[in-house]
Formats: sequence, C-alpha cells, structure tokens
Amino acid sequence: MSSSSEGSSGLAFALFAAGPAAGVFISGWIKAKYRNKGARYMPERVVKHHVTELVQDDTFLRKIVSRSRSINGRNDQSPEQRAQFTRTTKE
Amino acid sequence: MTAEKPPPDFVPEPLDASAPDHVAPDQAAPNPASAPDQAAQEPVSALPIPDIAPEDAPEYVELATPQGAADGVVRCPQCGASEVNYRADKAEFQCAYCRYTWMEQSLDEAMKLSEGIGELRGTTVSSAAVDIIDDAALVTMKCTGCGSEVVIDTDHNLRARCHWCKHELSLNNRIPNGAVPDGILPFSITKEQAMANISGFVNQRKTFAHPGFSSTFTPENVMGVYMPYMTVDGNVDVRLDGEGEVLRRTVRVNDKRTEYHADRYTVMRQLSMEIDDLIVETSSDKANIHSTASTNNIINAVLPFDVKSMVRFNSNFLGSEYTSERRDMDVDAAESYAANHFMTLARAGAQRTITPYDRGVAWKSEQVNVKGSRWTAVLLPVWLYGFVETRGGRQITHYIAVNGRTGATMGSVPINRAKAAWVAWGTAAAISVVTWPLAIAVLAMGG
Repeated sequence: MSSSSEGSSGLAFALFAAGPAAGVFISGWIKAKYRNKGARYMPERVVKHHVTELVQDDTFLRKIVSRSRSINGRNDQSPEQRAQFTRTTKE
Repeated sequence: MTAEKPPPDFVPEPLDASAPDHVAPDQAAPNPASAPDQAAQEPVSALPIPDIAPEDAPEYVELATPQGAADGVVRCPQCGASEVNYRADKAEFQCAYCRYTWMEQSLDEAMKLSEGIGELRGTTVSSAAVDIIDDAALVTMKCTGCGSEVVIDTDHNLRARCHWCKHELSLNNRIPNGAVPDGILPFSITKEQAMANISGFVNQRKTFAHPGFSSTFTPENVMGVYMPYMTVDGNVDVRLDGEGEVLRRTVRVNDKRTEYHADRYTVMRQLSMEIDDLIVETSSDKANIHSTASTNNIINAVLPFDVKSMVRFNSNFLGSEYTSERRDMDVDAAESYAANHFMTLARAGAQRTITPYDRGVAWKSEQVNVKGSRWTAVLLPVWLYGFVETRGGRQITHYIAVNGRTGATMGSVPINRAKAAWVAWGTAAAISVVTWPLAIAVLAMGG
C-alpha cells in the first residue's frame, strides 16, 4: 500500500472517529465536573514529611524493544495507587 | 548515589517476570543511577502479605492529655455563669452574661505533638485515642447544678441542658465509648460563608444537575458537623521495589508502527521518613472513600486542616449550632489507612530520584515498617450538605462539603443523565453528520 493511500485512510478514520470521540469527551467531562469521583485527600502534597535517609540501588536487567511509549505497568505518577505487593510491619 | 544492600528486616519483593516486551540481544548498558552493573536478579516467588498480628503488637504507651474543663456544668472563669457561647468569627468563647472571652489551651504546645517524631518507638496514643471499651451512645450524667440525671446522646452531641435547673452540662473528658476526643479544631468558617461556598459550587453545575436536586436545593440546610479523626505522627522506614526503563532510541518501522528501544533496570528505594500530622478518618462510615452508597471521597477531599491549631476539647464548641459524630474506630482499625498514606508519601518522596527513567517506573512492591507512631483523637469541623439520589432501587448519598477552617469546598452533584446523554450524543451525531460524508469522500478519492 502506498503511503498516500495510508495517509488518506488515516484521515478517514479520524473523521469517522471525531463525532463519537466528542460524545465520549463531553460525557466524561460532565461526570468529572459534577461527581468529582477522583477527589481525595492528598497527603503527598499537604502533609509535612521529612526524608531523613535515602538508599538507592538500581541494577541493569536487559535491553528491551517495546511498542508502548512507557513501561508496562507504569504507576510512578499516581502515588496513591498501591503496588501489587504491599506489606506493613511494626517494631 | 549510594548502592547498599537492603537490611535483613526486609524480605525481597516478588517481581513480575511476565513482561510482554521482548528482550533485545543482551548488551552491557550504563546504569542511570551510576550503580555498578550486576547480574539480573532472579525473580523470587510471591510472598504472602502478613497482617499485623495483634498479639505481636506492643502495648500502647499512653500520652496523657491535659485535663480539660470538668464534666458537668462549665462556668465562666470570670463570673461563674454556665451560659457559654462559641463565636466562630473570633474563634473564642464568650460568657453570655458578663461577655468575658477566653480560649482553650493549644494541645500541640501542651502535649509537644510536633516534637520528637524521629525518636518515636512503638505506638503512643493520647488519653482519648485509646480503645473503645463501651459502645453505648447514651451517657447518663448527674447535673452538678441540681443533682438530677441527664442523658446525652453522644452519637450527635456532647452536651445537654438540664431539664430542671436549665444549666448546660458538658462531657469534656474521656468516656469509654470514644465520643470525647483529646482536641478539637473549632469552626472559623461561619454558616453564611459555607452557604455562599456551596451555592457557588452548585451554581457552576446547574446545567446538568439532577432535577430532584435542583428543585430541593436549599443551602440553609447545610449542617455544621464535627467529624472524628486522628492525627498521626510517624517514624517509618519504607522500601520500594520495581522496574524502570530508560529510552535509548525510537525506530519508526512504518506509518503505523513505532518501536522503542530501552534499557530496563530493577529499581530499589529505601527511605526513612518522619511524618507530622497525617489525618486519618476514625468513623467507619466515612473511612471507605470508595463506597458506592455514599460519596465519602468528597469529605476526604476537603482535608487538610490546620491541626497545629487544635485546642483541648470543650463541648461548648459544639453549642447548639453544631453536631458531632462519634469515633467508632480504634487505632488498630485505623492503622491500615495510615500505612497506606505512609506508602503514598514514600512514593512521592522517591519521585525526584527516578527522573532518569524517562519511560517511567512500575513499582511492584511497597513495604513499610512503622518504628513509631503517635495518635491523637480530634474532632474537625466540616459543613455538610447532603442529597440522597435513588437510582435503580439503589440509594447514593451525595455530599457537598466545606472545610470549616479553610473554606475549601468539594462536592458531588447528581447528574441529569438523560439530559447529559442527549447533549453528549447529540453533539456526536451533529459532528458525524459533517465528518462521515467527508470520511467517505476521502476514502473514495484515496481508493
């Protein structure tokens, strides 16, 4: 397939998707503005905390090739979401 | 940057070995954290998550809260009258007869709650944060004015007027059902301010509001409620383990496919942290912020409060305008919520150390070891407006909440779903009427 026909099919897909995408966007915007389901206490922003000691240990594992823009299972930007394994102990 | 082995206290975390990305031919690569290259770690099997076993937990150390005003009739220090009002606009008590004004002592200073967090060991609880040993809400007290018995429903208030001598009776010191806290943060936002905030919030959300909500919306119905919380100071160690990736190059294979070549690393961060005044809910009704029956996350979202300003509890703060909710969770029950927040804080604390990983980090294990914690029971002021929506036989309570100190406002407004759907999908249809013929034309010309 030539690159011009790929380009036109891409444009056609975008035009087909524009209407439904607008509907999904408006619906999501209304829910977000009215229901505020994601609102929560954000201790990471408002609680005074002081890191007194920090140890880092990073080890190279391997080279990879991926079709994804970011690492699979990325969660570093949502600190409130717990990792798959958590453990609490008390002294 | 240091590269130390973890202490023996921590058990290695299980790593996910089933990453879908395929592995490039093995080549040496520099470590972005300047750690020496090491052989790839063997994934270890998943470990069961042990609960904190109560029998292993040390006994609480009780931190004595200063004695508050006596239970019973509280009198003006100047003239001895028992009619005492709290003035939210000036944050002070005023005698209804002689107009003498005064304020309760600061609890943070009296109990040194901001000091010694790094030296905390075990679990320290203030006098009113100890375990609830009697769940009965009704408390009978003898009127210190005339000797008759007066019943106070501690589920809603902590003071009552004697029917006989008309003195105000107050519960100010610890009682077994957890209703009386150590401290309180009085309202400083007045009802009028709260009503204005709630009206402003709703006015910005009128278009798609549920008709039942709009027709009954009455900001005057907002209630001033003292909600039960604990402030928690923590001296903790946290270990985070995961994997991170650094992008080396991007290869555009064709118009539809791009490949990202990256180096993958195991990432470990271990932090010691001192945490001051984390706030944790201690009403089991409100602690679950993911409830499907109640928008508890809204109340949670108006945190934080300036808890450094809390004062010794005095039930005259409740007056006739405010009600209070009774704590029904002990420290044991609230610990998991605090540990969850400790992990969140540690994750945020580690964020600045993982910037070399431009493809991000997938944290897979979080372990917190609480070396010491200090718990104080406190009532915090929230203006609450509620609306119960019934949908499909299910009821959802929507709240609009105003922080009684800062005025921060958050809410959940029920949606007129039919109207929202018409607008969303009507817009979709209107756009499609224009774009779909264009798309067909583009395909026809392209073909």
